Amino acid sequence: MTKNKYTLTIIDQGNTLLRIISYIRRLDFKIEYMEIKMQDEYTSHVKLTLEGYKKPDLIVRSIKNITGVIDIKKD
Amino acid sequence: MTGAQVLLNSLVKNNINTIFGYPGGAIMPIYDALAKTPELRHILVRHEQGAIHAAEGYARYTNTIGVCFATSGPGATNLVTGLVDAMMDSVPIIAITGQVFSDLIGLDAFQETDIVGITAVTTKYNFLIREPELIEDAVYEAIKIATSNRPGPVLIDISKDAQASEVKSKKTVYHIPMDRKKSINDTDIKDAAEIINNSKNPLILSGHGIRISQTYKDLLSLAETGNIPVACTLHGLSSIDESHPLYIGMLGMHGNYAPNIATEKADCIIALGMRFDDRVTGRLDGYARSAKIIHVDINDNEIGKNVKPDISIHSDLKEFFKKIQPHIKHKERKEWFFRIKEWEDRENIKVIKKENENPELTCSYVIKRLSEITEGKALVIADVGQNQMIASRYYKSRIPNSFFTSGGAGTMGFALPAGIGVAVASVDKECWIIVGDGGIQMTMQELAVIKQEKINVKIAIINNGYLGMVRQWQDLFFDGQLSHVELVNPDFIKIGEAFGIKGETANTKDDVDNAIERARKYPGSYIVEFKTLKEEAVFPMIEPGASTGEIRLE
Repeated sequence: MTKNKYTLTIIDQGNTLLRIISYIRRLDFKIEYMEIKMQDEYTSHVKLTLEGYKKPDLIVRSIKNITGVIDIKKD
Repeated sequence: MTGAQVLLNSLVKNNINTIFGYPGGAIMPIYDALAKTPELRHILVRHEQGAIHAAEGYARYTNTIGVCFATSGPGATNLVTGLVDAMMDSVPIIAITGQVFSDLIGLDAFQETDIVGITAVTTKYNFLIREPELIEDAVYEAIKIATSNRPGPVLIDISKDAQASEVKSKKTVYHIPMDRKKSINDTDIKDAAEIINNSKNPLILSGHGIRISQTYKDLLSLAETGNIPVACTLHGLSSIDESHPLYIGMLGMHGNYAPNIATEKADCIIALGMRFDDRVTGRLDGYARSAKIIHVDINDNEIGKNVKPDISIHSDLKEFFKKIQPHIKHKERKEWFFRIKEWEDRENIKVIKKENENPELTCSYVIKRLSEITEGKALVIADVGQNQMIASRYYKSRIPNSFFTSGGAGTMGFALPAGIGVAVASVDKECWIIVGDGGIQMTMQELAVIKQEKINVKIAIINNGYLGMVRQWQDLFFDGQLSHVELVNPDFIKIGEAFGIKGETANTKDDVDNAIERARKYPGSYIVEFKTLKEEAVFPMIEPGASTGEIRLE
């Protein structure tokens, strides 16, 4: 299996970082880079570069399912 | 008005009238206010795990929210198993925990724990409230989150000072986005209907979603109109009258033979409100290879996660049924039903007949008789393990939403407290808790609640002196090497007596009917301990790593 890198951009309105990181660990991805910017009082933009063997579909659907995540894009 | 009073008023305003809980230092202002709030019935449990499972039982039966209270630290952590259970099984729960004073949070104060951190991934959402002004808004949001889309648990952790302080004004700060775009469209519906109408061997898989959306009649209508057999997942049980000729049994690892083989042979699978859990699918690359799969679920995360459907419908089931029903045509499908009957006969000969001929008292016999005597009309709360799998196959539920168990998490000890919740919610309905000798000892302190609250629930303890399912697996997959599965049990009848609950023991098949009848007639809770065959094995079985088509009968 090949190791791949994915960059995800997440828009979060639910203070969900802990949940996102938990999924990343459960699905055996490693965080190579992480950037969080508050857009306003409630909305944060999280940019993540992940490295792992699993297909990104799994991590995208898991993060999308977290209450408070309103958008997720994979580059 | 204090934060505690605001909290309780908010619950009352949202039609909550029953709370299961256990007080302690950090939640004392809430309990003080509770004593002055007669609209709320509080049931004092004996362990916080009991509170949340009881709240689950209440929520599962009523299809509304279950509420539980616990204090900080160990009180809060004792809720964690129940939160996991509710999360896995889509049960709407509001768990309220007391937290230490806000200026002590983060300083490792007495009974302080980061319950919001601990439960970040075991809840749908959680809140840490340090200002009383936020409480009302948090309750409103929590209820919205717990009940919308796929239901689940929400925890609100409230610092002691926020509970005790006067609320000067109301703040509205939370606006957690919950709206998910649904993807139901007419083309998908027409395509799905065409697949169903053209199929020779269709199969409906009825999941928990049918019960949550209460679309029992719609399910039946779809099945009858199309003349399509229905198989249920564990949580789909009691979504259809199990004596109906179109019902063919339970799916999965310890499900019935016919529905599992039918999954393998079907040319069309209509999966309704279910998530293709690994216990249902077996080995994925061998799952339903001949079938076109139509998957309907309210949670788009589940569609395509384990099994890739041919048609994905992200929708509430009510909406789906309304749209698809007019397109469904009746078909005879004689050959398909003939084959299903053959598979059912195979299980009858290889498993059921053998069990019936066994002179020893078995769990299977107990459940069959219970099902027959109660005519499938009792509310059944099964624990986890062999007793659960046998109850799920042999208790033939006739009424909607009447079979309750811990499915996703598989929490041993669930049944007794959850049964209390179901009995409290259902008031005068006949409730039977089915639990093994292992499971009952995990939460049996809750027998005291039954006595104190005068709850009427019948408890069938299946006592085989073993952790039966683990023993079965050790026997089958670990060369028969038994390891720490034999139980030296207390006298359960004396335990019941100590708690003020009457009971009796059934040792033989001849004792069973009378014991069940006496329990039913007794005007209050009653324990029947069934001393069953020590080494009963549960078959059929799909071995771990096998496909549904490789299901074993012996």
